[in-house]
Amino acid sequence: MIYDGAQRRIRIVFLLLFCILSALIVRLSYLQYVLRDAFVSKADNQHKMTLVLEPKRGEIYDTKGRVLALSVPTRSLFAVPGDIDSPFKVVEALSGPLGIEKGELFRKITQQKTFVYLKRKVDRELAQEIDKLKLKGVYSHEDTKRFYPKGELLANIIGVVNIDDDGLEGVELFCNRYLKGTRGVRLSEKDAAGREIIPLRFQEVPPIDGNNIHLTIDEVVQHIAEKELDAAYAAFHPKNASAIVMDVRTGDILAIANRPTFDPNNVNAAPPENRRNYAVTDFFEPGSTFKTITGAAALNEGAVRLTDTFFCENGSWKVPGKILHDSHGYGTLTFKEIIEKSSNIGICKVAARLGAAKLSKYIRDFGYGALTGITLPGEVCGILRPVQRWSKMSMTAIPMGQELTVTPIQMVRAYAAIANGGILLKPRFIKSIVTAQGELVKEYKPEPVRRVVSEKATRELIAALKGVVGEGGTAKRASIDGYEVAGKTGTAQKVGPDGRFSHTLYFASFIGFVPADNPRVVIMVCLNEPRPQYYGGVVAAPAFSEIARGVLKYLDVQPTAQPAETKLTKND
Amino acid sequence: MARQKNSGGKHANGGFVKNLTLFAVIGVTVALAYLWQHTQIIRTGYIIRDKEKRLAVLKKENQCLRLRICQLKSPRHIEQMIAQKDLRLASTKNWQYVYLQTAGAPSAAAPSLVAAKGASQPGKQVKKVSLHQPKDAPAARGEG
Repeated sequence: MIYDGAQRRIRIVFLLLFCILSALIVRLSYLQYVLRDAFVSKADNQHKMTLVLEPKRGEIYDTKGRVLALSVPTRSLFAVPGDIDSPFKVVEALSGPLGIEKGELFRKITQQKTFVYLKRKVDRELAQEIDKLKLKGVYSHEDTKRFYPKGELLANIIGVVNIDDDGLEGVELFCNRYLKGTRGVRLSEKDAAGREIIPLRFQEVPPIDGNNIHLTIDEVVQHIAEKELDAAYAAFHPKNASAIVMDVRTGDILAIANRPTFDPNNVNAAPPENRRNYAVTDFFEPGSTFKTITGAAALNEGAVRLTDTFFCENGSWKVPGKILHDSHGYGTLTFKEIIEKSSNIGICKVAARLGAAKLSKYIRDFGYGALTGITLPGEVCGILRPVQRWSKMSMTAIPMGQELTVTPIQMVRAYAAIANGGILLKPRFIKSIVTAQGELVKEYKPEPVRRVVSEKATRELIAALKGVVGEGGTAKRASIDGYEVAGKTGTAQKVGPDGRFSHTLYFASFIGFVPADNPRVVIMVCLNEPRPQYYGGVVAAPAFSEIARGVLKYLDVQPTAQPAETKLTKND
Repeated sequence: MARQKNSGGKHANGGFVKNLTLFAVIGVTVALAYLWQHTQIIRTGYIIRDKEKRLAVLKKENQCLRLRICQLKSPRHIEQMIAQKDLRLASTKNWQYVYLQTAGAPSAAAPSLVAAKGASQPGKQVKKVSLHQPKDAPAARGEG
């Protein structure tokens, strides 16, 4: 019996042991097979680390390699609200240095979140000072900030980026995919202190830095254009103003200036409309500057010669639907004088010889009604109706730059075609895109589009345009000592709120090229609603003259004409 | 024979122990050497890490200095901060480049741009000097 009892107890013990072992085996199997991944992940988290390697955003350079935009290192401050012991202490310590109101900062750090940014992209020195305070729950990480070392220079063109360094406007937006770069990653192991153990790095995909953009813009030319445009903007108070400088031989844009503008390093200080690139995104009725296009078409078709005469109706001519006026009453003028004196009646009579179909063809050939293809965002093509939809009044409006709208960049391109002997060029704004290591990714070469008019026609037209700046012309203030200038003024009436042409709102412009007989640059200056004066020859021509003077000297273009002795001391 | 056998066995045992000891010593030495090497690798890794951090910091400082240089070289900065504020020069108005050249080789194209007397040196060819003429400055020879 005793033996039986012992046997039974032994069996019970063994049974219990078996049950316990079985339970352990089941539990171990569960841990090993079912929960394996979770535990492996926990272990990996403890000793493995994954580092995201941020690429450097590409830089933007001018044509001579001067930096216009670059990224510099900063730090971003963040908090882990759960780690903060004393929110009041944090608020007291950080409110002042970060410039955040105490209530707002308190609300941020007491949120039910695991991560909250306190302030992004702060100076590294400030971040280091805050790190020294060793506030529990407040940390910082590496970041970069886009900086524009030239400040307002070219701001409307280069554009800006958002807080995550993605392009929002201008070149930053247009070339964002080239500038941004690609993130890299590094897998490694870390020690108990969280430091990377470099010999145990086991995988690394390096980041690819963004490409650098080289523009055709020349910083000095841009500075000249902006400075002179500033002067015109201050003197005549237009709603907005633009100036463009283009190389007539290559189509390279050397400068695009817009006013009003903004400081790209402090974007929020100016209203959003100040960021517009008026030279490309806005269109207007060109007015008299468009007479050059009509004249070029007529000369090329042989419809007129420079010496052909037209009766200009003594300044008032009744045509279907309206009465055409000239600024002065002219009798008989030659074609050359029509251009020089900017006679509306004369140019409409010239256009009548040409015919609507041909005029329409030339206007389109000069690139109006279509995008120029400039590598900038937001370009518009203006409004140009097909010739079939022209009204009876069109042939007394379009030849003098009404009933159609154009952009400044279209005007500059068309004048460049006249200046270079008749070849329409695609405006070139980006010269090349290269990697951070200097390898060429993409190159933009000068691109002739088509021949629009013959060289002979352009030579004749240039002779007429030179007269505009001479005695008896409308733009004597555009003249430059030592250089011959060819150009045309424009003073276009704008449509008022009542839908009729206003007698107080004007779009004033001057566009021309220098030196007239061997042109290097074409320059346009336009002012939208200048006041109190509004004539293109008064408000835009002086700015043109100053820009051209500076650019020619900078480009080392030798004077072609002996300057008048009296003019030597003009500005002394 | 038995004695001989025993002494042979003792010999064999002694050799085995010796060999075992030798192997153990070698094994321990190799293990220690491995550990030492591993420690050195880790230690060198930390040094490399510190150098990498230093390199990154220097690169960042370099980038900040590049930014500063770009800002200082900006024409607007030179004009407004240095010329007008620091040197108290008059505001620039006209853009002027003066061409200096030898007296024996006057430029036919631009006689009016030859610099003032004494500015040119014999033997020197045309040299371009860029400057801005202050609006209120006294009359200078050449283009105004």
